[in-house]
Amino acid sequence: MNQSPPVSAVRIAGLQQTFVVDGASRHVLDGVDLEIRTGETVCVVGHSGTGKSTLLRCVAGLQRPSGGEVAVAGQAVAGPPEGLAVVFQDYGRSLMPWLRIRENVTLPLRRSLSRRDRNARATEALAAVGLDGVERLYPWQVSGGMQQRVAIARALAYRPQVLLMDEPFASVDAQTRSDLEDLVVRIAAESGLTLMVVTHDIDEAVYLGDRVVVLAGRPARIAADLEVDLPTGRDQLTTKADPEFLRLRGEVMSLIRRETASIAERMSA
Amino acid sequence: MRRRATSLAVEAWLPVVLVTTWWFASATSTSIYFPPLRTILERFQDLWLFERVPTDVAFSLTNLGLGLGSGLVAALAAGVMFGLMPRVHTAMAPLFEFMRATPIVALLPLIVAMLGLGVTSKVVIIALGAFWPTFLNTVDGIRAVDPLVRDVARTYRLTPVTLATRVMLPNAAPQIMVGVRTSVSVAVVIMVGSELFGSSEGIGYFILQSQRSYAIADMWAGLILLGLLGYALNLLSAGVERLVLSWHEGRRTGSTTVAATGA
Repeated sequence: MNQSPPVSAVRIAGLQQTFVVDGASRHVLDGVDLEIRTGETVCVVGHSGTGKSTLLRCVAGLQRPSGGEVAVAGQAVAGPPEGLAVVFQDYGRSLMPWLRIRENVTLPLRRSLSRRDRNARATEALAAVGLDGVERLYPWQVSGGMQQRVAIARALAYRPQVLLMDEPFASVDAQTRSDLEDLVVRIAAESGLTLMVVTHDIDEAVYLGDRVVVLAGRPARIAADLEVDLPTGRDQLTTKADPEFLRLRGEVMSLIRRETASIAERMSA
Repeated sequence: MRRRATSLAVEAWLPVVLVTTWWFASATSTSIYFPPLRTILERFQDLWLFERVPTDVAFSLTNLGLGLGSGLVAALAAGVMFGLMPRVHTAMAPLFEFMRATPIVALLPLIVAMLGLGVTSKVVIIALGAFWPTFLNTVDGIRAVDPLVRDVARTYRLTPVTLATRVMLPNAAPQIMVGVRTSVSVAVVIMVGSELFGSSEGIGYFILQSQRSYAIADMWAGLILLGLLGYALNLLSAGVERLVLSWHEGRRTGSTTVAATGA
């Protein structure tokens, strides 16, 4: 921990992923290169089924790539790396229903901290996501949006350097979703975390990201890597009406459209 | 309060009717095999309240407790182990199925030959019988863990102990409890069986002895005692289940869901 942090928190080089399903091999990712700088928020956007989650799982060490390299904090990924946390889409299944909310948040801390320190961290992390007084409840006793907040608190309490989010708000209602987006923007700004968010929602990607990476094609490659030049203090109303926001959103959308059209052409040819 | 009284009445009416019918139907019975219930209950009082409790009942329950306890602990430990090693389990599955399908009491002569007629052989055979239902259910429960739960556990690099005690076992608990309840009833059956074979103590021995000496009312009193014991054990395991699975029940019924206001 006494060496200075490497500039790129996540480095993906020439990533290949092929699955064999029922004897037929399916080429999902074809030479993906991506660097995420420390403290940066990168959103990976693309159609469902393009391989966004596969990419995330390779970074998380939950899946072994067929080729290429992935490094987190300068260390080649061989299994789930230290200092990395993941928030999954399905909060209903990623939280343990038999553990109370506090025990869910402290579960990853059992390796390293005393009970007192664990509980202190849980209280702090739950407060950071706007949850007070729910420690003694079970996850299934609170709303879906609150459950996803608990999952985020669990990740924060773990104090990762890199936080991955896999379609984190795809299962909550629209109002809750924008609240949670604002929460993530605030956390990213305050904590200096390196964040990689996978989403199919273009607005969300542009709203959250310092950079938006478009994953498209079959097999998928990086079709575009766009810097988001929007003020850091983002706001659901003003940011989403900003001409730069609209321009980026249009650009990402046309990129995805074009890729989809060319795939359709190739399929029908 | 009223609802509890109603449900008690619903549960109790049939036993009450049956016992009353038995009482009056057998009141003037002269059959050797079916003595009046009144006589049986008198013998029950003489025998089990509490003259033979320190001897026969204590003997049986000690064996049951030791056998069931060790059988369940072994089943949980082995179940978690094999549940986490799917390939090894697949290789062993035919053997496990064979062992489970073998009536455990049939092993009694072998075990007695090896360990003698003492307490040890009885405890061992009860443990053996109690082992299989819980073991097989634990393996299945552990193997059925949601892949996402596995991903969460891997991502946060949980230690094996945390993984086993905080994730795998609770996740498998509903199914484990099904196994435990089967184990409990199997253990009672084997406890009685082990006392029918070359024993000189225990409730099973007492029943056999009463039958041999034509003390049929005593035999019936022993049977009633066994019935009551089985019922009490069932209540006990239901209580344990409620305690262990309170989260499961609460989630299933959703009765305690807090109003979902906003995020």
